[in-house]
Amino acid sequence: MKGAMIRVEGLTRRFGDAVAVDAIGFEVARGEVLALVGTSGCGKSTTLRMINRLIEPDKGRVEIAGRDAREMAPDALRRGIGYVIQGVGLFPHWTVARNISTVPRLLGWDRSRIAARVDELLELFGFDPAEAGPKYPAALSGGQQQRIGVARAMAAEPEILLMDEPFGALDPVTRARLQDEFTAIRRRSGLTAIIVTHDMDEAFRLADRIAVMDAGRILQIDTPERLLRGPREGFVRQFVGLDDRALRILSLHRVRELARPAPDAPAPAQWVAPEDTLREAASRLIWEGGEALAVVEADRITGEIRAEDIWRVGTRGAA
Amino acid sequence: MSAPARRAALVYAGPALGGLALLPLLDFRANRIVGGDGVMAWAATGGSAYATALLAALALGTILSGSQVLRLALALAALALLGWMAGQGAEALMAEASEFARVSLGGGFWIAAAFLALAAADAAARIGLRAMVRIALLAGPVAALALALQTGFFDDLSILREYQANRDVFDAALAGHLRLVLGALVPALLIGLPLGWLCFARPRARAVILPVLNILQTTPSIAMFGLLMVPLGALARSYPGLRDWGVGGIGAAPAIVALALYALLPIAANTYAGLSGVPAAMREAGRGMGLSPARLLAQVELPLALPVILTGIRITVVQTIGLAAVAALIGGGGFGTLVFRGMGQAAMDLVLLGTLPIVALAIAASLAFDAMIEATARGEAA
Repeated sequence: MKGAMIRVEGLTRRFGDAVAVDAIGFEVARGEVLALVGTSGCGKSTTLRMINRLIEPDKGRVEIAGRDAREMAPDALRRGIGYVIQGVGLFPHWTVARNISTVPRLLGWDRSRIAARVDELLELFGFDPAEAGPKYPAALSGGQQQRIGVARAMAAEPEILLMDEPFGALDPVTRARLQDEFTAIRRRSGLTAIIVTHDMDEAFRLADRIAVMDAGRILQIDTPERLLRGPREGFVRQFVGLDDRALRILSLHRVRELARPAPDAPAPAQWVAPEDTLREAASRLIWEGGEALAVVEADRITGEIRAEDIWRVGTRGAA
Repeated sequence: MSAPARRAALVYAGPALGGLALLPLLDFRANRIVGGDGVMAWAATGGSAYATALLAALALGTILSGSQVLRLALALAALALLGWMAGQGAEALMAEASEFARVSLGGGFWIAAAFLALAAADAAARIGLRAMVRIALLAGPVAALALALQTGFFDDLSILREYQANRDVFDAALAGHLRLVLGALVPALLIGLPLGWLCFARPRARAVILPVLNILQTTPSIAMFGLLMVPLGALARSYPGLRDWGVGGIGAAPAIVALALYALLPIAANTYAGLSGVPAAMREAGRGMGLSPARLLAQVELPLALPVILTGIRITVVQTIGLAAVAALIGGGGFGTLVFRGMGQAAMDLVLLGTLPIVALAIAASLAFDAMIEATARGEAA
């Protein structure tokens, strides 16, 4: 991959006699989101922390936008990379606005630019700047704190975001909402990101590619669909989970990809939207029975989606 | 009022009244040295039987009262009445006595005063007042006491006779005491805070520092003075110029050094505890965003550790104020001078004249630090 945003080569780290990360290498293209998944202790967090040099590697190298990370001062390197950790790590003695402005202050932005950026981010993450800015983190819910944690990491407009179990401690509903929010925001901003998670569903939702790690090595690195269709024997197969892989593949595709033309008409009782996943369309078809569903946009039928097309996507050997 | 609060009130009001019933309010002595005759509260002056009855009613009121605010007011009123009875009683007794006679405060007074003050403090604590409000509240009784002292209301009490006879010594003792405390605190902070940080940053240093400070802390103060006499005396002999600075085997210098050594443990141990209590996630987030170690310490770790560190300094200040009394043993000055002189002369009032200001200083320092600790911890709770 030419012009990779992050390139990792032969990265190795030992803690005592134990090898935490064993000569791993991968590349992340500009604007791509890579998920590092695996069980606890597989070395995924250590890998992440070697990229911004919170942990120094024993061997191997990390390149950020073509530059060797070792050539940059660690603090300067970290100010250029957004970092989100599990448990948020918001400073309890600072207001929300002060928390978000941490890195811009370190970079010496002037006050009006910082204030404008803080307001912009608060709005982006669905807060009222005047109301939320002066609050202390303790006054926010867990989901709100997590949002501020991501906003803080994005404050200085970094090109790269490193996230360690960013949505781990949240209830499933809040987590799903934040995942969607994050996907929308990173599409708009063109962020390159690496996300560490032990939750395969989260990886499928957020990542363009997924690296499955075990015992300090990357066993397989692939797009979600290829990982589902062709998982390697052993740990990957077990970790990815094949019981519902057809449904998981369906959830990676959108209705608009398969929609066929249909005559314009008012919306019927049962329909799907172009941006719904095939999994949602399949579920509705099973529930309602029938061979096809109307695709509706703005209360008008714009097309239809057929069950046979959907089943074909979820079949072995498709795509 | 809740049952526990009522039981607590009983625990305070009961002993207060029991003390007055069984022990004298005042002690009358023909001169400063001889033993005295106790004067019970109700027999002190013409009207004191009524005053005693009123005092009993106020004390019982603190048990029966439904609100903590009323309890606080009743306890403070009872304290004021007790003070008035002591002042009036002393005046009446001295009116008919010789120049050398003395009237001192009796066991009944002290017990009643102590338990009524506890009742007031308990009520104030149950109201849940902020430290600043508690300070403002305390300013009232303190101002009343200052006014009574100013107008000479208590002048017939022997403790004030002692004050008048020893005014120069008292003023010198106050200045000396403050010098000892501040002189010990400043170096203790300058050394103790970095030591605490070192314990936190270098576990290997901690394994040495904290045990050594613990041993220092458990050394009896007299022994510490003795141990310091030798090196400081030798130092002063070798470099006579140091004597001009007050360095020597006896005097303020060894006292200040000893007090500073005692102060190190609470300061260093709490600094260490405060810093290690900062959640790992804060540190990780700070480092991950590119805060340098110095910035992380100044902007994140120290502010978050501050309430615990201030608690350590508060312990140190209160401990040093009390411990500084012993400095008089080696000529270090301070209120201990009055205490030891009083003990030498068997004049308990002189001992009290040295002791009461120490207690007052310690309470004042403790309250001031409570207010500071509350102020620093507020942001996080908000």
